[in-house]
Amino acid sequence: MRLKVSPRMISVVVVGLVILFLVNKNWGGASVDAKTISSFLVVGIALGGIYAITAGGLVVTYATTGIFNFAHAAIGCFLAFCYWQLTVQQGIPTVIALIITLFVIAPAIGFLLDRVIMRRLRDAALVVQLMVTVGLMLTFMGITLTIWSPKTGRSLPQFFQNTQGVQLGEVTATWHRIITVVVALLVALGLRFLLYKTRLGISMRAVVDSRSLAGLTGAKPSIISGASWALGCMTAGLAGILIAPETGLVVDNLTLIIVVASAAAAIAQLKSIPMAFVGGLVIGLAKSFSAVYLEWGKDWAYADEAIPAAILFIALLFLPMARLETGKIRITKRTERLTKPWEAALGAGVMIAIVGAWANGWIPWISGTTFGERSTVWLGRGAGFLVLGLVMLSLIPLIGWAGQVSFANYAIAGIGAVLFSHFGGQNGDALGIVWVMLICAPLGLAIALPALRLKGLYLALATLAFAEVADKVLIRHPSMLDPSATGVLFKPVNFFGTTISSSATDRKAFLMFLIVTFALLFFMLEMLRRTRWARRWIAMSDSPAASATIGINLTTTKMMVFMLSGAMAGFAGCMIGLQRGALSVDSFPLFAGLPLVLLIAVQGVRYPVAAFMGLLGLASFPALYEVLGKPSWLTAIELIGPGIAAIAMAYRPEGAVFYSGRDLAGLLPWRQDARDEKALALAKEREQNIGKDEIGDMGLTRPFTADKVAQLDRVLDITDLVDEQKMVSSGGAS
Amino acid sequence: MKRIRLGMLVAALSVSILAVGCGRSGSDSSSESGSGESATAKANANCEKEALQATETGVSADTITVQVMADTGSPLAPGLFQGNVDAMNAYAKWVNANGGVGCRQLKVEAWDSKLDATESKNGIINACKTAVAMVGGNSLFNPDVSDLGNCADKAGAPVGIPDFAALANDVNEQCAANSWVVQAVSEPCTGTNTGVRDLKAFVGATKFYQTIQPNLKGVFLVPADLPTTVQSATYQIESQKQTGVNWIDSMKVSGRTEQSAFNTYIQALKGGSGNYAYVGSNDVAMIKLRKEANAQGLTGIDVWACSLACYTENFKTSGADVDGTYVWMQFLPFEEASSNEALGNYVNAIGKPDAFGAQAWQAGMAFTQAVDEIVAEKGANAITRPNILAKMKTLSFDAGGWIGKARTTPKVFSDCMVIMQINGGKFERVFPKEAGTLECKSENITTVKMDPAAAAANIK
Repeated sequence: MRLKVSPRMISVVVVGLVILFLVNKNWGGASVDAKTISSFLVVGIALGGIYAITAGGLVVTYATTGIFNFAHAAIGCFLAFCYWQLTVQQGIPTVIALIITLFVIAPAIGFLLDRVIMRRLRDAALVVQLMVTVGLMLTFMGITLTIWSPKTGRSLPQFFQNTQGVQLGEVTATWHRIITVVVALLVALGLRFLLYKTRLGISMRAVVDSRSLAGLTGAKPSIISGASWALGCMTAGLAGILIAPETGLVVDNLTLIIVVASAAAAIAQLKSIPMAFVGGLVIGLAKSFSAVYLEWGKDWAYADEAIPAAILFIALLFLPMARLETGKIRITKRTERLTKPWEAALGAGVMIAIVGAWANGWIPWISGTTFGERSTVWLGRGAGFLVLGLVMLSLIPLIGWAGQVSFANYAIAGIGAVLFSHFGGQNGDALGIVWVMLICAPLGLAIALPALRLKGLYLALATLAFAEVADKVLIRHPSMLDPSATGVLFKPVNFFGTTISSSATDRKAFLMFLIVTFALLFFMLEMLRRTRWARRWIAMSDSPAASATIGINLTTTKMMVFMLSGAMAGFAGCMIGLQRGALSVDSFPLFAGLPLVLLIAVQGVRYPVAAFMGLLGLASFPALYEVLGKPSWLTAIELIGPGIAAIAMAYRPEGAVFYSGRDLAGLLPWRQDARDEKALALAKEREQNIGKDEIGDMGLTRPFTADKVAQLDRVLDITDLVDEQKMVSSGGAS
Repeated sequence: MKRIRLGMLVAALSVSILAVGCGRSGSDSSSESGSGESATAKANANCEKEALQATETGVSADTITVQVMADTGSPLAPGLFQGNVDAMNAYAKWVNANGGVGCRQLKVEAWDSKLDATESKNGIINACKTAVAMVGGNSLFNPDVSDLGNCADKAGAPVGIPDFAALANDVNEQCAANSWVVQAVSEPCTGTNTGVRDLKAFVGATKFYQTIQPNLKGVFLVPADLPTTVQSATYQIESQKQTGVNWIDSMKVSGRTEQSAFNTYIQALKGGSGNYAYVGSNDVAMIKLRKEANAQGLTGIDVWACSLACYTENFKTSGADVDGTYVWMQFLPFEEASSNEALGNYVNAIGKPDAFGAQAWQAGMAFTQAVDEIVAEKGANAITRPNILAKMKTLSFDAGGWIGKARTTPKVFSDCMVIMQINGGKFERVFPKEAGTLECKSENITTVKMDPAAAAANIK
């Protein structure tokens, strides 16, 4: 008999062997007896309950809205603070405070989010959906930090804190933890029942699949989508309230649980709520096992913190391979006009001129302001923004053209910076930069491997996991960044006889070097956009199926763009090293990279000039803070600013560069095409939108279609009072 | 935006504080206030002798500008070390109301280092251009101190800038030639500060705990968010071991660790029949440990001990769970403001005192003393960075008795201590018994020879 071995089986065996190897290598020597087992199980299940309840909420939000809500834990954090305010500060009884928080504030937030933001994301591109929720996360974090200053310590008491709990072997399970696990289980089963056995739940899922079809069956999509977000916020709030006594009422502790919850949700393939519960338990038990039985040693000192990310990565490896979509070919816009070489050169020159004028104090209207000062400090900060701009540039071909959403480039830049400290950075050898780029290109390729199987949200989560593992395991490895070697790691670099450094005396020269480098890369990207490779990437992004049909090798095409992006991120990392001079182990955390992806998406990730606009945006928030005199209510502006900018993408999904370009390019005498484009857009907009004074034209000079009826409802502001689809039916009948 | 985990930062900070040493003290703080007051009197006498001039960057005929650099505006931890800035502003107000410094009014400029190494470097550069010295600072990430040592003074000489730091977490700042640090410095600061070397550690508190339980046996919780904090803990662990503590285990704790995970430490204490738990991390870690211990019904712990990191308002409001916890410190506690004039001045001026602010105030006092001594010795127009740098090398400073015996070098390790215990939301003195005193004994300090980086590998 011939044994049939599937690739999945091989993967299971390989992953299992790797885990066994790691356990064996890092075994701490604890005896496996009843005592340690009970400790491992009770702690693991308690932790698992915490993660499960967040993961369950994440899955239910995704199942009922179709949007992966990165802000889920941040909303839960905000609601936990509200609950603390009501119970601890105001002295309101627990039950009433729970009712107010979970059944008044949480649904209100959910309905508000749906009404103001989420409805606009229904058909938005994945990158827009993700960036809006990431922006929402930063905004909620900023609001929470602004209202409840972290300077003041707060704690949320456990439920039934002064009771004995239940003795399980050597360990006591407190009632709060028992409640957490039971609630997580009940939430999992209850939501499963709600989604599959009740009319409301089935309607919620149906609306995600097809609003119009759901409407035809009598569902009310607009109300149901609001209810879905309300339910999501309620589960987030419940999780926040139950988790806060365990993690402490600390914003980043509560918000960062999203990484763990994502791993548990990935195990559930974002579909099964009971499996999300199981996923939470798996992660909790894995962390507990690590704490009780393993010793990671100095080389992998932070490996236990990367366990959730590693599990996320493994879970994604076992997802079924993404199939090529057919029948969903979308042509989202007219073919873009390609930038001509002389226009790209002009753009690069303008960038150099702007930065040069600022650096030399030639911009009079900002020269009197703090950020306009041509001080050494601000020259250094300017260089800091420019190196981050280089990271943003590396995202253009990857996300903007190839449609591969990645959160890993800042981590690759971090690896590049650390590598440069080994390969020439400490001797000022410019050749080291080339070596780093040659290493980071295949590193990008390594990330591309899951991209060959995954796409969309799963790919984004895989890159998120990579970024976390890179921060916790790779960059912090003593062979990469020796913790005992502190101080300046980078010497001035010699470029063709010219020494470049970020020291106080050379900062203007360094800034000009960076902007010239940035402008060169910008020009090269604009030229690359004109080549066959860029056209392939864009075609692959628009329709992988169609691309494959016309003979494009999707595997090679994806690998090429990841390699290019990796090499560019590596170069950016070298510049980051040069600019900062010194590095610490936490210089490249996952969350520091998010605003970069976010800001370039806000500006328009398809356009290289968006990287320049993005870095200006990055600079504008601290500058605004200083100009306004550093008011206490704006201390979190560096969170809230990018957050709100990202939320605005719900209204301007193509990015600021696209809209401003469309509106302003027509002012240039030689851009007749832009004027035509704008006129076309206006005509289309007018055709699609109905004014109240145009209602009489319906059915006469303008067709009375179902779409028009829905628009009419919106114009008359009756969308939420009367179901859209009913109007279609009745309108059609009349 | 720089992502910084608050928990990590506080944990990192706490180990820095673990080794806090604020100078030397006489066993009775009512002793004379050192040479500070007499220097001020002599300086004041010199003020009228010559027309005041702008003698240095940051020194005009009327004002002396100093810069306090602290991590106050990180998006995730706004106001983390605001206490340092508040204390320096309050100190300037107080000192100006009491005659000023060096015949001039003290002006304080604040710089937010944002838990960011680049902003710390920018802060030094900015101070070089606007201030005569950096005073009362507290920046966790400050690895590049090259400008501190070589930025130009008014005359163009690359002398650097004096740094009277309240707390220098980064070893590069700790050991910089131009830094004078309130906090204790364990490092020998003689070479590269790597490999096997002699490191100082404070064991006075351990010796006191041994009077409660002679056979201390327990666990040490190591703040694990940064490698440097783990390394700092290694010589604390070793020094306590040499003093007679029997460690069941030393275990890492992260700022993000959930309370459930503290169960592992509790089980270690239970399994090893421990009677001692020392938290080298922060107040949040100690609160979680105590709560988990109560939840697990752990009894038999004779000594719950913590560093100065637990001497916080947050800890005081944590309820009965934390009752009985010991906290050791190396300056007179705020509860005894009436026992010492300098301490009283700080508490009255600031309203809500905190440990970081106290250290900043002490740094301000040290700077004032240095400048006044220069004026007393060389005249009112001798206030220059080179003179201040020369003076800081030999400054005899006791913060008016607040920190006990006078210290005479820029980097010291105090042998003084007072031990407090929290009960019912209040800190109460337990040792030495007499209010307003510190115990200062050379035996309170020990030296361990080790490589912290290598030893860190053995911590779970």
